[in-house]
Amino acid sequence: MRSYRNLQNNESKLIAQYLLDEPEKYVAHFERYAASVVSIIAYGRRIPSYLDPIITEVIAVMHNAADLNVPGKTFPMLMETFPLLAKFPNWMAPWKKGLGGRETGKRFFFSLAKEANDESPNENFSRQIFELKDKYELNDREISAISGNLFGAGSDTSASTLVSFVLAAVMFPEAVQKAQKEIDSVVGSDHSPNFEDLLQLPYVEAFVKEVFRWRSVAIIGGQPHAPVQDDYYGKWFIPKDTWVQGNLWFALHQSSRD
Amino acid sequence: MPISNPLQKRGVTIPKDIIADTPDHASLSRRSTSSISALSDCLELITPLYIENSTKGADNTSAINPSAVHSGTSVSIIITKAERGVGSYNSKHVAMGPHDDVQTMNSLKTHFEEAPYVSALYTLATIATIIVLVDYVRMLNLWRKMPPGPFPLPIIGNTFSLPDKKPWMYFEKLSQYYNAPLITFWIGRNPTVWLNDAWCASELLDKRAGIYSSRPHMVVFGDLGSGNDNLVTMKYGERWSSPALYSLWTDVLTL
Repeated sequence: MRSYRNLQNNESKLIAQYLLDEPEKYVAHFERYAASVVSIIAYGRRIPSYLDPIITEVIAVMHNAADLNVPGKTFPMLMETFPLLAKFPNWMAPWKKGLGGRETGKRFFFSLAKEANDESPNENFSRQIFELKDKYELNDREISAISGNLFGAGSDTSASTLVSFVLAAVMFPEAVQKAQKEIDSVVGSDHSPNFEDLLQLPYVEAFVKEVFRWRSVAIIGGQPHAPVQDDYYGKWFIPKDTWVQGNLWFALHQSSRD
Repeated sequence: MPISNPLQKRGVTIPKDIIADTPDHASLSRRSTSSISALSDCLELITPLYIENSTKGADNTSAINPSAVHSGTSVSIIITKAERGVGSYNSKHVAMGPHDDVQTMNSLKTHFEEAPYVSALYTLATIATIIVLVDYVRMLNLWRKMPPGPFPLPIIGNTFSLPDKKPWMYFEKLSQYYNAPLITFWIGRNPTVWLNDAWCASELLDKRAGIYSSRPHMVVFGDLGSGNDNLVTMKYGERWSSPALYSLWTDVLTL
C-alpha cells in the first residue's frame, strides 16, 4: 500500500490546483481525484479531467450499487421482500429495471481490464490478474469483478468522504483554523503537505479521523454479513444465513456504553 | 323483499328487522357458490331465531341464559323431527325446513357441476392460506427467539414501516426503544439483524469472524447482480473458500 503513496501525493497536488481554478466544481474534482487514484492502480491509466466519460460511468455504477445495498420498500429493492418477482424474465418485468442482465454491468470493467492488460505502458493490477488467469481458471466475469471492486471500494467512498470534509470545514471553521495553523508551522510554505509530514500533524490527523467518524460512508456497514451456522448472542437467537448488518451511524455516535 | 322464509310459512313470528336480514331461498341458492358460504348463510339465518325462541321459552327473562337456550332449541327440533320423522338434526334443518335444504343442495350440486373451476379455486385458496399460516408461525417463532424488534406481519414483515430516507436513524430509534444493541427488522419473510453498537459488532464480526464472514442470500445484489462471480456477494464454501481463490489472493497481495 505504501508504494501507492507517491501517486496519491501527486494527485493531491493536482486537486489543490484544480480547486483553485474552479472551486465551485469541488465535487467533480473530488470524484476525479478518487477515480484517478483507483484507475492508476487498477488499470494503469490516469484520469486527467473530470469530463472523462469513465468518471460519470463509474460514479453511476457505484451510486446504483449503493442504492441496491440499502433495503427498501420501492423497486428494485422490493424484490428482496418478494423474491418471486425476481424470477420473471426481464421483458415482462419492468420493475427489475434491467437488473439480471448480468453481462451489461460487467462488460464495462472487463473491457477496461483487457485494455489495461493489452495496451497500458504502466504496471497495473489488471495485468497481474490476467497473468494469473490460466492458473486459477478465472472467467471474464471474475476478472471484471476483481478489478472493478477497486472502483467499488475506492472511488465513490473517498470522494464522498472529501465532500463530508468540506461540510465539516464549513460547519466548524475554528477547527479548520487550528489545522491550518498546524500545517503552516510544521510543513511551511516550501512544499505541499504529504504523508511524511502527517506524523507531525496530530491535529490534522485527528480532524481527518473525526470526518470519518462524523459522516461515515457505508453508513449501514456496507455489504451484509451472514453466519454459517445457528448462533446465539446472549439469549438472542441468530439463525444461519441471517442478514446481519452494522448500523455504523449509531455505533459511531454513541458517547459511551450506557 | 319477498317473504318465503320456511319458519314464516309455518306461522312462527319473526321480528321485522330479522326478516330484513334473512336471505330468502331464491337468493340463498344464488349466493351459495360454495358449501362454506351456504353454511354461513344458514348460520346467519339460525342465530337470530335461536335468540327469538329462547327468549320465548324462558318467558323473556334472559336471552343468554343457558337453560333458556336449551328449552328454545329443543322446541324447534321437536317440530322438525315431527315433520320429517327421522333423527339426527343440526341447526341447519331448523332454519331451512325439511325440503328446502334438499333443493338448496341440489342447486349447489348443479352449480359445482357447471363450474368445477370454482371448487378448484377454493381448494387453491385454502392451500395458500395454510401455507401462509404455517410460514407465519415460523416467522413469529423466530420473532420470539431473535433480538427484539417490531411485530412482523405475514409475508410482508416490517417492510412497509421502513422510512424512505436514512433508515439508519430509524434503526437507531428502534435500538433505543427496545434498549438493545441488536434489533431484528423483517424485510418481507426474512429477518435482518442490525448491530447498533461497537461492542456487539466487535463480538460478532471480529471475535466470531469464523462464523460471520459469509454472505446472506441477496436477491437484487446477488442473484441479479454479481452473484458467485464476485467475492463481495459470494457465500462461504463455494468458490470463496476454494484453495485456488485463497492462493490467488496471497499471490495478488504479494505481487
